[in-house]
Amino acid sequence: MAVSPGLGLTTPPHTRPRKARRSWTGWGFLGPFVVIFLFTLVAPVIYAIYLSLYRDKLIGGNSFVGLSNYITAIHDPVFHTALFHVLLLLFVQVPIMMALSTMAALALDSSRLYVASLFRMSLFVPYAVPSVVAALMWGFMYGSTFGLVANLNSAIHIHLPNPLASNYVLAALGNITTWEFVGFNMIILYSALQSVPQDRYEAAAIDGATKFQVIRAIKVPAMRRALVVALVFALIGSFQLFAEPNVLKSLAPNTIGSAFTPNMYAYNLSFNGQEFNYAAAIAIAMGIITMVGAYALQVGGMRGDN
Amino acid sequence: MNADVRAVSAAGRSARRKSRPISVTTPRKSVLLTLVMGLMLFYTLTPVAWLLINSTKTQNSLSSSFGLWFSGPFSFFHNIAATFSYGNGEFLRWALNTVLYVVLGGGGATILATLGGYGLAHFTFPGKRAVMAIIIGAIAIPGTALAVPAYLMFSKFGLTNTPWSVVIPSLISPIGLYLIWVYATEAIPSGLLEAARLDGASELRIFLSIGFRLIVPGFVTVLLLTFVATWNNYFLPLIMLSTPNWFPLTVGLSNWSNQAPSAGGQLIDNLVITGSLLAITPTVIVFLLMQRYWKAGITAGSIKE
Amino acid sequence: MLKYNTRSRRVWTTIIVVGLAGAFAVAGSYSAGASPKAAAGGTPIQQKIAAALQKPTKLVFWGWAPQTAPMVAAFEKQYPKVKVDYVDMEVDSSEYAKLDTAIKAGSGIPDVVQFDYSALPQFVLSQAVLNLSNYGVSSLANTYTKVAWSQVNLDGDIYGVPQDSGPLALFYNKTVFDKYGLTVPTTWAQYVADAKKLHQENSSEYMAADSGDPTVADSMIWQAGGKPFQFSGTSGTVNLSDPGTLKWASAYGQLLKQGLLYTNAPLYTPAWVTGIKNGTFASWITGGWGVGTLQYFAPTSSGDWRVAQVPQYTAGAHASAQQGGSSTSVMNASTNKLAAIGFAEWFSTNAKAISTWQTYGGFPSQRSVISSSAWLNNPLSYFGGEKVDQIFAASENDTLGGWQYLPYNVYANSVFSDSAGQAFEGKVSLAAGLKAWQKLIITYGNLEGFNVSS
Repeated sequence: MAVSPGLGLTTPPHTRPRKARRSWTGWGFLGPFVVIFLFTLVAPVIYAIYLSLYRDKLIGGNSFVGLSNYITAIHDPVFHTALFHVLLLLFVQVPIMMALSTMAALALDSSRLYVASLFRMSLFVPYAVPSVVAALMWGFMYGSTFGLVANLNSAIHIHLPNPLASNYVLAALGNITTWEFVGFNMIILYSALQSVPQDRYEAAAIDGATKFQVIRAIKVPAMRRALVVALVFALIGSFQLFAEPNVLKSLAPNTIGSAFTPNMYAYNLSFNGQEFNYAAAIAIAMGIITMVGAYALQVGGMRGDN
Repeated sequence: MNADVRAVSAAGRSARRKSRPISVTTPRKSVLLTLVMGLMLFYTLTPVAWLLINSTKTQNSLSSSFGLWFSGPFSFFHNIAATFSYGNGEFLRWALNTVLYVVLGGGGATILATLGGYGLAHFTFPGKRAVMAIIIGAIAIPGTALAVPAYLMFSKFGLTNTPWSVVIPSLISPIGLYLIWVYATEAIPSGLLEAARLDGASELRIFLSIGFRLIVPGFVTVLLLTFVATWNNYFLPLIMLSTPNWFPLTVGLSNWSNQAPSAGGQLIDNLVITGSLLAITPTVIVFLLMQRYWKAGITAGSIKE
Repeated sequence: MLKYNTRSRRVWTTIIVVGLAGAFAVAGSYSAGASPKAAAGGTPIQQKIAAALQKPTKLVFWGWAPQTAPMVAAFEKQYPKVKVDYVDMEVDSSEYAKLDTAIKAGSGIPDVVQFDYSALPQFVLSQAVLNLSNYGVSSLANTYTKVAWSQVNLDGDIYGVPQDSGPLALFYNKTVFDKYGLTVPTTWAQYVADAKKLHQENSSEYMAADSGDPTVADSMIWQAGGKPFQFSGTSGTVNLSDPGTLKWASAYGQLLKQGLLYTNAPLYTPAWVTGIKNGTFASWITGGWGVGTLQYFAPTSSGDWRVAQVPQYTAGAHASAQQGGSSTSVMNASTNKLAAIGFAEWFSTNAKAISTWQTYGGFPSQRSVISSSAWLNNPLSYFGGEKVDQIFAASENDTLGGWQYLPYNVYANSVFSDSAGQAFEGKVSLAAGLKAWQKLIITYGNLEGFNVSS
């Protein structure tokens, strides 16, 4: 498997030191990227770290407070709740989505589907839908007074609960993100499956392996790296969740409060509360949590490789 | 962000059987499996169908009819016309803004990533290791959460509330860089470049005439990713832009929905729905059209196994 | 949500021509009384302002009302040298967020801003808003109603020109009331009893819809005589369990506890509009601009709705309050302050401006309008020919004095749903929810350097 590079968050892909010349020429190619990169990503990170060490009060001005903003965050129940929400999504919604994607990828790869290309293309369509539009659409459908849920209730005389009530709102959000990305993850996993050399299956057939043995012994391992990569980005996506709950908030202001996810919390702190410093601390804290989580996932997921 | 990053691995996962030979087990088509997948298809397409159906309804029949079937006068074309004319034609303005951001931001990001990825793949130079480490680390940083510091920084340069405040951050696609890097490493034999150098060709010329042509599939894939990323961009413009003049479609539409009962004095859910449909149409079409390239990209990546 | 507030202002400005057909004629007749102070003559400062309007100037104006564009056009026609760059801040709550960040960044600050009365103190405190007392604006005091003027008068200084008012009233659906034999409630006890009866008669009908909205809560607490926010400069108290607030929490809390309010339809969402249209929500307590809102949302309900005084806590009393309303203010960062002041004055004193504002459904704040008999005796066919403006005029006069908004109201509103909003989910009692809100407000205030106690 010389090719499949995983994503190599930890190990950069193989470069070719053999014949490449060590000179400044490479900077000519990389330079433009790096300049913009420094300006739009590195500088804000540094600025955020700087901001997070200060507290600029509405009354009393700016002062250096060390790590006090971080200590506040550690003890902040609002932040905890927001974090809990995204963790719940990560540990419940993401596995469900990945299971669906895996099943779909296996089904596509099995060659046992009628009109497989229809499935492959259609399941992928939601990826092209902006998250804002996805949230708007589902928001309309979730309507229990007006909307599809209300329609269903009156049409077939059932009583579906309001999807945006506090008991269900996380599930309702999870459903939107699942809808958006299930097809996309399927494509990632499917292309991993497609990279399995045919002779592996032939060998398995000669050994008299059953279908499930083939899946377990060949297909699942083949998908593992892709799965880890998909998980890493699902993790980042969950931790950064903003657009969907922010759009739904106008429909359910009490169940999706101002701090439903850490990102919404930081947004509200900055733009309604002018607490840029504390918001920066939350942002940096979330960055650290994300990196630790992504790293742990990779280490765990890649264990036994090579 | 989330998704475009994920996409990489799909494209980066280069090896693929060129054609799928008849399986050893020669599977029969399964009705049951197709039905099960049909359920998933239903789940995926229902909201899209809902959007299509409801874009044909008037504001009035919208709230008084069953969501998954047609009702009332067929006003699809009227809705489209109204979407474009509402608020002095701001929808069109937002659509053009979006195109601008996609072309400058997404296109620029693809070019920068292509140049940079190629540079990383085929040159060694001072500071390369540090650059690689920082870029890899940056992928894991929640970019959206840094929007506030970025806003404050940009405002110091007078860039906020200008198209640049959306375009410049869009120029960076670490994942695009990564993808090209992997792709260029595998698709361009170094020997070829060395030969050209011996012929005395300039590095830029070598890149344009040899390197680039070999990584076109990767380039197209990255272009697709950045296209979607910039088309769907919401958080960044939401923060950076204060006047509707420069809004992209995403921010504009969420505005419309937030203030349905607003300025023009109409309830405009029908326009939000029709506008949403119009907003997703280009991306869906591009993706379906590009299906060929996706496949080609994946296949072409399988230089070696 | 601030946004609801902003939105409601916007809604009422969307006029139904049928309903306020008389407004055209009426507005023309009395608004002539309010002549633009800056136009000619007057004190030295007024002359300076008038001169400034004759010089080539560019002003940036952030507002939201639909009638603003034609008003700006009329202004530019009158003062061709002044170019007003009107920015329609369509994003509801984010107007103040954007303004805050612009101030923080020190760039991109407009010259003139339309402020909710509730948001004004916050920007005054951060010294972003120009004190107009020294620019002759104080002489306009008698042009506006007492309430409207008091909202721009903060600690004795004037920080804007009043634009509109939002006197509270009870809107009710007479058809629904008649159908279920409900009496128009004059007291809150009757209101609760009506709500109970209605919901018993038909479990899918509700007395009103409310999903928790800080601007609604503020106005109702105000009407109950509560004064929860008392600030002087940077120190003050926040007491959301003062007697007045508790009166409201008790009356309204009963409604919530017994499920008599519909809590899944935030204002102006499709669910809310549907309920208003089909009579699911039998009443609505809101500012005078509700006249425009109802006609606009539920044109088919013409003839169903009526207006009455807000329910009282003591039979026979006449206590009222405000919801919404806005001022036109000049920013300290403006480099064209005099022209900006001239524009702000013109915006709500010029006869043409006043009439344009009203033809689009704007509620007036000028005494000359509110006391004119043409306006007061204008029957609105949408309300069954009732002369509803009399009720609003009375409400404007009955508005209780002594109310203050927080000096950081934008933030407080943004966390209402996290605390008091939970009472609308049935999670806590309204009194407890308000307590939780109080705690968030105090904590934030002290964190930001205010000296806040309960």
